[in-house]
Parts: sequence; C-alpha cells; structure tokens
Amino acid sequence: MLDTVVFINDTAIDFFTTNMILVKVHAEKDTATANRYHAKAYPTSLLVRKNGEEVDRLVGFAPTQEYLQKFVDFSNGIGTLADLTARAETGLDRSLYMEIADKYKYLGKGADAEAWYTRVIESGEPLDSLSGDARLGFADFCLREKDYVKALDEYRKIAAEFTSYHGCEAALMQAITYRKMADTAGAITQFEKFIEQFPESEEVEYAKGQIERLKNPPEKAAE
Amino acid sequence: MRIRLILVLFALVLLIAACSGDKQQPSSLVTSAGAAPYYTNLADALQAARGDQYVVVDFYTDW
Repeated sequence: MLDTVVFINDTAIDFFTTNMILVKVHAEKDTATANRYHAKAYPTSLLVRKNGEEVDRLVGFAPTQEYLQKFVDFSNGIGTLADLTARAETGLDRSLYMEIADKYKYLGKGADAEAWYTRVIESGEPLDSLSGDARLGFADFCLREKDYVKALDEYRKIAAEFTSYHGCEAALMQAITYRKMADTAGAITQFEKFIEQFPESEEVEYAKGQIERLKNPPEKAAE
Repeated sequence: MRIRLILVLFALVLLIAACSGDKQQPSSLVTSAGAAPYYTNLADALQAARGDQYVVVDFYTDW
C-alpha cells in the first residue's frame, strides 16, 4: 500500500529525491537486514542514521503527509522512544504509556513492553478500555515472537474477562493463533465459536472465509 | 613523440577516473517516472547518504 499510495505521491517523490533517502528491503529475501532491525510486521519503516543506527520506526500504513511528517519529527527527536519516555515522567498519561509499550513491542523488547503495559493497567481500572488494549498488546507481542502457548493463554484470559470489543478481538485472535500453530482443527473450532459468540462482528465474513480456506486449502482445491 | 605520450597518459587518466566513478555508483538505485527513487540494498543507501542525511528503510513482503 505504501507503493501504491505514498511512494507515488509527488510530495513523497520530492521528499525522497531531495531530503531523505529511501531503501526498500524485501524482508523475506534480505532476512539478515530484517533480523538485524527486528522487523516482524509489515510494512515497517525505520529512520536510520548514515551509520545504520535506528532513530525510530513506524509500524503499519500511514497516509503520505502523516508518513513523511513522522520521519521529519523523528529526525528532530519528536515522538521517539526517548522523547515519549521523558514526557511520561512528567505526569500520568496512560495513552502515552501505551505508545511506549507498543514501541518496545515492535523493537522485540518483551520485558520493557510488559512493564509499560502493566503500568497502563495498574494506573487504571483492570477492565477499562486501555487496560484491554494493553492486555491485547502484550498478547500480540507473544504472538509476534511466536510464543503461541503464551499468546493463547493471554487471549483466553482476555476473552473470559472482557465482553465487548476486547473479548471479541481476543476470541478472533485465538483462532488466528491456532492457525499460525498449524492446528487446523483448533483454528476451525475457534473461528466457529467466534461466529457463534459474535454474530454481529464485522469480522464474521473474514472468519467464514478462514474456515473455508482451512477446510479447502488452495493447493487441495486446485487438485 | 612526447605530445603523443602525454595524450595517451591523459586518456589513461580519464579512463581510470571514469572506471572509479562507475565503482562508486551504487548499483541498487531504482528510478522511474512517477515514483520515489529508492535503493534495494541498505549498504548502498547508507553509502549514498550525504553528511547527516537520514535513510528511511521500508521493510515489506509480497503478501
């Protein structure tokens, strides 16, 4: 999506011609570079200095202006992990704690991520929205790090404790975790359970599609 | 004779300069109309950065 939206935009073309240098790394082909920078979600865009040192990163898609501004800000020390951490020391701001936790998560620093997610939870109510976000954030970290057993355990607990958005998300993510574990039967059962529990969810069609794919994998359907 | 020798030496210097120039040109730069120029190799991009110029690394996959 960055290719079809951001990198073809005139402002971005000018930016990467005169201001910063762009390098596109295929993470599955250049695994050494992807591993060096712990890039595990795509797209992930890093700002690095000439010596290769990372300044900060943006995970996921952002519209052109927001995308470019993020890197200008990072280059000026705004919105970086150091900046956010310094701001967090000046007062209680759970959204800021959440942002810091997510940054550690994407850097693959589990202990730091968990500490900041815990701070989000402990500075609020155990079942409020930000606590739910923090619990999902930590479970997502486990999933990204391929600690599937721990991820499943976290998602199960969230699904049991939260009823609305977070419970729904956790139920769906349990199914996705089973699928990543190559536990086809477990994934199908959990997707079915999700549809039964949350029939009004926007993700129902996705879940139905996943069941169909798991029952009839593309290579099997082609036979 | 001396003039010829000087001309040959001059041509050789030009040739060496051109070859070394080619070597310095990173090979992974991709340019096309209507798209931001980019490198496909991080080392090339870092080498091309001038002074305190920053590099944006976009990690992507096909899926």
